[in-house]
Parts: sequence; structure tokens; C-alpha cells
Amino acid sequence: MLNRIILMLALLLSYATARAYDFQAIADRHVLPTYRSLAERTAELDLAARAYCARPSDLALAHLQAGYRGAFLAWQGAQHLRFGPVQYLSREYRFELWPDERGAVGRHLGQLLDDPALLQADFDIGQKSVAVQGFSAMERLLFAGTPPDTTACRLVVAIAANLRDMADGIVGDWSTGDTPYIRYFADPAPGNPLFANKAELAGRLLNSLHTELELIITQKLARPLDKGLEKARGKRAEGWRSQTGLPAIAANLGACHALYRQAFAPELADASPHPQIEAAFAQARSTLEKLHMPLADAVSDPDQRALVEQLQAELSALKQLLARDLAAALGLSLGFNSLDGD
Amino acid sequence: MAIDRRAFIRLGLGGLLLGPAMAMAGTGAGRQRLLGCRSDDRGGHFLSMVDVDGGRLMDVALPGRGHGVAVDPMQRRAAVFARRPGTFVWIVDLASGQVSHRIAAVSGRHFYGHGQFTPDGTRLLCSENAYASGEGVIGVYDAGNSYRRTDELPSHGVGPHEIRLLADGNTLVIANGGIRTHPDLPRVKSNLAGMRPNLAYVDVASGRLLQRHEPEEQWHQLSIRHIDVSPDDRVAVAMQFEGRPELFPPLIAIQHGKQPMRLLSAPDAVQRRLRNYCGSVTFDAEGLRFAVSSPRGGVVTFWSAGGDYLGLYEQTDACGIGRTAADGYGFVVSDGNGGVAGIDRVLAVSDHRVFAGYRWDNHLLALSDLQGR
Repeated sequence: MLNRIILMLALLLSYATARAYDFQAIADRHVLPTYRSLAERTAELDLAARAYCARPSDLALAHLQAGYRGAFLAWQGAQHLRFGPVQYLSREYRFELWPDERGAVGRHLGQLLDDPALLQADFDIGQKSVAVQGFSAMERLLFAGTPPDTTACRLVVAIAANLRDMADGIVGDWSTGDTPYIRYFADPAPGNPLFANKAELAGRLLNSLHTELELIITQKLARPLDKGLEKARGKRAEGWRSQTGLPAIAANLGACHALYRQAFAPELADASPHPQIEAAFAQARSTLEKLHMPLADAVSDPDQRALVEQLQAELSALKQLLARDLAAALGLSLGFNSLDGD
Repeated sequence: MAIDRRAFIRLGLGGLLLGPAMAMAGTGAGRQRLLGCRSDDRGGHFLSMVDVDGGRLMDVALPGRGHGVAVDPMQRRAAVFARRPGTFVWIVDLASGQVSHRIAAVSGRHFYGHGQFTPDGTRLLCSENAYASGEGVIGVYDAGNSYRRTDELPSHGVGPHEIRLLADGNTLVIANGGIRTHPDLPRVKSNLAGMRPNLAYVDVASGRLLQRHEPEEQWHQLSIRHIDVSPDDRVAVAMQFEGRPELFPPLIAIQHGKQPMRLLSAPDAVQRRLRNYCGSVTFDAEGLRFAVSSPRGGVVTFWSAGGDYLGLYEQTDACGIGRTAADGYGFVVSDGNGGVAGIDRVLAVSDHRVFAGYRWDNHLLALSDLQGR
């Protein structure tokens, strides 16, 4: 009898602590809309690139630059998803190579613009350096001060098509074919070759959020800030040419917040640390909205710089809340080592 | 018979050479010493030596994350290789723990993370990348002349990773992983769609290609990364699949003599747990069995030298595998949480110890055995 009671208690307890995690809903409401938006924006960029290069004009260039910003920010809104089809064929690096500490984009782009292969009919950008295949190279071609000429247009059109194809490829790999990725993502369970249980996949999502915040804090903000006002390095800001540095961070944070709300908030059901996490996202957004200069300039302006540093500190606190408090509350592991082999 | 004689000679040499090495380290007889790269919780990277009883014997702070380790036949020196794309290889005196030489990558080359001493200890061979062309090369360094780079051999493939010498001391087996990297783009694998990995046998004296084995076309994204060689020159291969994760190609192979490479799969349910990723491979001291780690799946699988699947062992984030000769031809397995497990000769866990604060990296070497050959 006692045994039976203990067994029932154990069952009840395990039921209560088993997390729900509706991964199908996370895919349908967060992941797939994110990638569909990326596919739509890159398709628009592709059209604008071909239109400008067929009949260059100031208006067509403005349209192309707007298309670039739209697609780039759609990519920023997807950057926090660091698993699955975006990693096939090194796609994540081919979309954008940043930070580029060794100046690969400029150097490899310069080499390619001098390469006769660029003008040949069978030119295939997929065979060229990862550094010239995506947004980082395209930004230099579109925001250089001089509009793209015929040679640069070869590359602009090729990059736009490559971005569109990669975005379409991600949507396709997630949702179509014999073995769409969503099939594995939606049902983590023993026997699932990609995710053996819900905790593992939830840990992977948490790792994605953590990695994105780490990237913003230690790269996107720290690199242009450098060690002090006098040492500020505005041209280290992501997207300084197209003035997309802060909009990119806003897109990153919006996406992280949306994923948090879809995946983790329901598990906490208003209990700690949910209120603290919500407050931290709201505080960071509020600070971001007070920044009215481009990031590249803000780091050299005493008042604005203080706000950038404040944002950095607020995001560090948010990162701690996720890595320590949320992980503990939900019994999740960030799992660093098994994600990083050789 | 030839095989038996070679094995006999090797065991004889090993017995002669182990004595002084163990005396130098000043530890008790039979206490297995382990050598491996690790990180700590504060971003520091080290080459560390410990013993299986928990003794922390040596820490050498490295300028970046280390990867493979090789020891010379006398087990007096270790070479520690920077993780790819690496710019340093350091030579460490195992008795004093002092760094005796710091080898920097020469212009136009980066290190790939592994290497081997020749059996006479006079030369160090390193897998490297000539990154302008993307061709793999083997750098040859003269141990008797401050590790000056004296020669360079073609690896006969792209992305050479782990290398091993056969018993003749002059035939180098090279795992050409097929993945192209460039130091301008750290960690980016830039040719996954068109990669062609291979296992190459190269004559060290001439650089000539003796044999080359490739996975069949449908598995061209099967990166041949890590290998080990048994005393009778069987080559065990551990691979990583760069294609779609829901496909389950064989990840392990065995190749011997002039025979073709034979791809091996575990039973279906086990194969899926490998997560298309093997991190290291090690033969036991007799060359009868080998162990393969799959850190993403948290399992180590065991195989006979003939290619039969023998079983598995679970250890979270386990990657490094050393062979032990001291306590009955088993293995020692390290993990990213500081754990070190001893696997005895019936493939049972005989011991488990945690080195707190140690994040053991991908590879582990057990000293006082034959691994330094």
C-alpha cells in the first residue's frame, strides 16, 4: 500500500515537473515566420538589384539600398537561431561575415573585382570566398559613395541571388522534402536522432539566446566602444556604412524577446525569473530608443556613449538572468562543449 | 609472422623506454599519467598532465586553445598543437614542465591541430594548410636543430588533420578531412558543397603518394578527421558528416594494407546516437580493439580490429581517449566536465574521477604506454 502511494506521488511529481514545451508551436509561430520573412525580404532585394543593374538611376539605387536594409534587418531578426538548416553548407557565415577582424571582406572583395572570372558567363559566387557571398560584401558595394558600376553590378546581382537562394533553402529544409527539419524539431524524444528529449532542445534554444546576447555585448557594442571615449572606434560598428548598427541590435533583441516569450515564458507561468526577464528586455529597449545617433557616431559622443555603455550593462544583466536564473528554474544546461568540436 | 615480430620489437622497445620516463616524472609505478589540453572556467587554456589518482602534475599555460598532443618515443618531450587554424606548436619538457621551443607557423601556412614525432625522435611532422591554394601539406621540423622547418610534403588532399606513422617509421597515414579553411575566416568551413576527403599513405622520405582511399561519392561530405594505427598497421578512422543531419552515413572505417577502406555502422539505434560526429579514435595497446568517441551524443563506441561493433559506453561530453597498458589493455576517457573514466579490458568502467574546473578538450594521451611511437 505504502509502495503504491509512493509510486503515485512520484508519478504526480514527475507530471508536475515535466515541462510542456510546444516545439511545433515554436516552429510555426516563431521560427518559420522568421525565415519566411527573410525569404521575402531577400527576394525583394534580388528584384531591386536586377532592376538597378538593368537601368541604373538615383531612384533605382535608393530602392536597392532600401532593399538591402530590409533584407539585412530580416537577417538580424533570424541571427539568434543557431541550429538546423541555417548551418547547412556554412550558410550563416555566407549570409554575413562579421566581425571580420582580419579584414577578409575588403581584401577578398578587392581580389574578386579584379578577377576576369567575374565577367564570365559561368561565374558562380558559391565557389568564391565566404567573405564575398553575403551582406558584408554587398554593403561595401552599395554604400561606398560611388554607385555600383557594371563590374560591381555583376557581383551585386550575384550576391542578391545567393542571399535569396539561401533563404529559400532554409525555408525548404525546415518545411519540405522527405525529412523536413521541423519533423525532428517538433518532437524531441528517445529515438529522435537530433534531439533525444525536450530538455536537450530547450537547452539548445537557451544557448541560442545566450550566444546572441553575448555577441551583442562583447562584439557589436564592445568593439566600437573600445576602451574609452578617446579610443572609440566607430568604424568597427556592424553596418556602419549603411547605418544599420543600432537597428540590427533592435532586431536581434526583438527576436530574442519573441523567442523567449514563445518558448520559455509559458514554462515559468509568471513565476520568477519571468518578471525580471521581462523588465530587463523592456529596460534595454527603452535605452536603445534613447540612442538617436548611428552607433558609429554614438560611441564618440559623451552623452550617447554613456547610453551605449548602459545598454551593454543592461544586456549583461539580462544574459545573467537567462544563463543562471532561467536555466536553474527550468533545469536546463547551456551545453557549451558538445556544440563545439573539431 | 612478420606482424608478430614487429609487435614484439615494439613491446621490447617500449619496455626499455618506459622505465626512465616514469622515474623522471617522480610518480609511483603504475600510476597512469595523462596528458591533454584543457580550458578552465575563466577562459584560460593549458596543456596539463594529471595522474589517474587525481594528482595534478603539470600545467603549461598556452596562448590559445590547444588540440592534439604528441610525445616523442622517449616520452621526454611533448608537442602541443594549437587548435585549427592554429599558429603555434609548443615543445614541452615533460620532466620540468618547461616550454623548450615555440614553433610559429611559417608565412602562408597554418597548423591543423595534430602531428607526430618520427620513431627516432629526430623530426616532428605537423599537418598544415597552404591556405592560398588550399592544398594540405605536412611540415617537417628538425628536433635536433631548434625545430627548424626543414622540409614540406604534400598531404595529397585538402584539410589534413590527424596523422600517424606506420610501424616502418616512414609511411605516414594522413586524414585529409577535405574541409578548406582560411586564417582570414577562422572556423569557417568554406567548401562543404564540394569537399572530397581522403585517407592518404605518403612516403615521408620522398613525399610520394602510395595509396589513397575516398568514401564513395554519395558520402563525399564525410570528413575523415581522426585516425589511429594498431601495432600491425591497421588504420581505424573516425569521421564527421557535414551533410544533412537526418541522414545517417557510416562514421567509422577500418583500412588495412592495400585493401579498400571499409565503412562501418553501429546497429541503427546506436548509430543515431552518434549525432553524425566522432571526435577521436584510439586502438588499445594490443591493437585488438578500438574506441571512438561521439561527444555530441555523449557515447563512446567500441569496435574490434576486424570491424565488429562491440558495444557502447555513455559519458556526457566525452571526447578524449587514451590507451592504457598498465592495467590490462583498456582505455581512459576524458570529458568537458573534468571527468576521467577508466575502461578496463572487458570494456567496463573501472574508475571515474572528476578534475574540478578542468574542461578537457578533444584529445587525451596516456603516458607510460606505446602511444608516443
